[in-house]
Amino acid sequence: MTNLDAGMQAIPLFALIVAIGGTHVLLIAWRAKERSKPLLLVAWGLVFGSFYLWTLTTASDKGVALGITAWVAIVLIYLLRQAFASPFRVKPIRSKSVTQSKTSTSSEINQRQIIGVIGMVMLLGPLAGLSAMVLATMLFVVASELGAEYTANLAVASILFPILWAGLAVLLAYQRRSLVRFMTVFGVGATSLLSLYVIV
Amino acid sequence: MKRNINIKSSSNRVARSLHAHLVIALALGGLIYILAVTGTLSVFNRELQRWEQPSVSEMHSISAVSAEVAAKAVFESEAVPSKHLYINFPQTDLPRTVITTDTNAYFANADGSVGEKEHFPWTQFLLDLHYYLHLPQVLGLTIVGALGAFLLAMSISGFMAHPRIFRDAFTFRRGEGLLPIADLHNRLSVWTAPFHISNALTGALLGLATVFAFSIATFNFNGDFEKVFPPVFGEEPAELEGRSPIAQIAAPINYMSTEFPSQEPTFFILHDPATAGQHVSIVAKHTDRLIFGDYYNFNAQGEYQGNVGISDGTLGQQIIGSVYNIHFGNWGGLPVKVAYSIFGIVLSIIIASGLRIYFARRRQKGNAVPKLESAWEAVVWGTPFALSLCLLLAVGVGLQGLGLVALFWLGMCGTIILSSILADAQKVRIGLRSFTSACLVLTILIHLMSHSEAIFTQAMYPVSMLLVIFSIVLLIPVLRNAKLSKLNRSKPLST
Repeated sequence: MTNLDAGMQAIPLFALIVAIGGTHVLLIAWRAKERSKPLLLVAWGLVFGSFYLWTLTTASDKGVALGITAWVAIVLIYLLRQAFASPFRVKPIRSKSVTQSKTSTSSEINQRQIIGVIGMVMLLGPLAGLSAMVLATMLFVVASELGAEYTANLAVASILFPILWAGLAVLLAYQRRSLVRFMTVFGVGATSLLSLYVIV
Repeated sequence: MKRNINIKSSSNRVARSLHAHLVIALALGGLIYILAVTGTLSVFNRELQRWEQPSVSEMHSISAVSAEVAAKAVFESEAVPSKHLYINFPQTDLPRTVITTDTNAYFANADGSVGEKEHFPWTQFLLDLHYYLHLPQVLGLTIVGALGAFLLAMSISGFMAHPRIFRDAFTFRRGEGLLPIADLHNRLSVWTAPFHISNALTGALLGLATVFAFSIATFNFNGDFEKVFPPVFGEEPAELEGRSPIAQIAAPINYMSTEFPSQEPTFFILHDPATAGQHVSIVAKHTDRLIFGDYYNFNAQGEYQGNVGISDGTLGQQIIGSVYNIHFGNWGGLPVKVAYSIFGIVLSIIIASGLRIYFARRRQKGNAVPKLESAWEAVVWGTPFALSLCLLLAVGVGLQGLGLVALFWLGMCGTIILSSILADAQKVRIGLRSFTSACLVLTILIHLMSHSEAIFTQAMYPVSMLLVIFSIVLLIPVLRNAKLSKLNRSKPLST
């Protein structure tokens, strides 16, 4: 084995050590009472540095994915350590009468609430989905008209579609008034559809 | 004054984001949870396939000649000629050669003889559940894709609802009550976000690709759906009338090993075999990349025609070619699969704990909903129970196909209804964990008895051992609970 081979084989180990270091510095930075920008920069620098090190072991796409996977696994181990280091809290035992009085006032989900949930599913599902799809298609067509390369445009639009759907679903669920919800979803869908017909 | 307004608007934003988070969770949490559990298991679908048929002959590679002999034998054995002939080459996690037509799949032995029929009903049932929720294909794919978008929406609203995301990043308190569950939910959600966001996004992309392609086709190709994907995955040559001797099979395989030795062929596809228009594609894995592979095309005489370009073509081809592997975690061998399965379990815990927090908060406010809470526990623990019951009956009495589908969904419905009648989340949890454990133990015993000749094979013992460990882990809280209640019963009542 040449020195170069040995060096290449040591990179994953080095990347793991750098990621552990980055995670530890993050822990220190976020626990400190005063916010320290340099410490946070060092921490994130180490974490992203570990991703870069992984890219030296393989192609860059797989390298970054390996780096992220390894880092998330390291953080989970850190969290497990934190959990075991903290004392076990025992829930204070309440007298039976208190617990009973709290549960006995319970009212299960009524018909109105069930209809509300079904309405919400319809709004967030087919309606928001259609609006997001029309919006993503409109963006695809606009990019096409501007001369974007077909496969890149298709990839970006395919990624955008679920993101737009998710964003729209959050926006709708965030609203308190049903009228605003319906106006938002129809507004997005109708505007996009109209734009599409104007462009095509 | 300004600070007060900021605090007020911030708490308002948190409250409304939490509301949005809750609305989506209450409406669709159950289905998203089923997808999370089945997705976690699907990471090991190849290992599970092997386990279901542990006695099949395994190999690290197969010679081109043997593959050709076996493929031709399977093709010629069919009364109605298949429109496709596939060879699945042995891979590290599935060291078997499978010859597949449009209707059948047989294992091939290393000498080219045809082995037994491929049969893994439970794994197929599991994959169909994860891909389509057992619905008709396009509808199922679309609903699953939509659920991926909703998981993404839950991640977005969850982040918006968390004002101290960084300060609390490492706070994790153990114990009973609401706080530890909230810590568990929040910490795991934040730190595994790279995994669940990328998985939700890729899952949504895969599921919604068909409907989105229809939309693109409507406005870009005058409704011609067939034109959307060829620039990414390559054009399909036109079908030609007339019969012809079956194309060269060994020649393209040999060409790949001499000209592209660093690429790992995974599939051989013969399109329109024994017709004038037949042609060959070999999908080869690039082990240093995230892409699922690239298509290397050959004509019927075995002459190389070029690759499609998923490995070295446009950026769009390379991005789209990476989506499948990013979602299923089969791009980095066993360590990545193990990591994905852990992240999958974590995602299932996040979803389960999310609604537990909601029910606990309602209880604290004196507005408990015990029936609904029990029904949620039935979803959480009924899913592994129904899956393990299906596995038991698939292994034990050979239940398959629609039988497994009916058993799963009827089992889930029955469990949810009975649990809400019982209205005791703790009892439901303990009961379903015990039943799941019992089903798994029985399954392992039956499997051991029916495949005793393969007990110590790589195909059998790792999965069996994992199932044993899982059934024990399931029982730990049950046994602890039994011990506690025994202690409570033996204690004299204090006034």
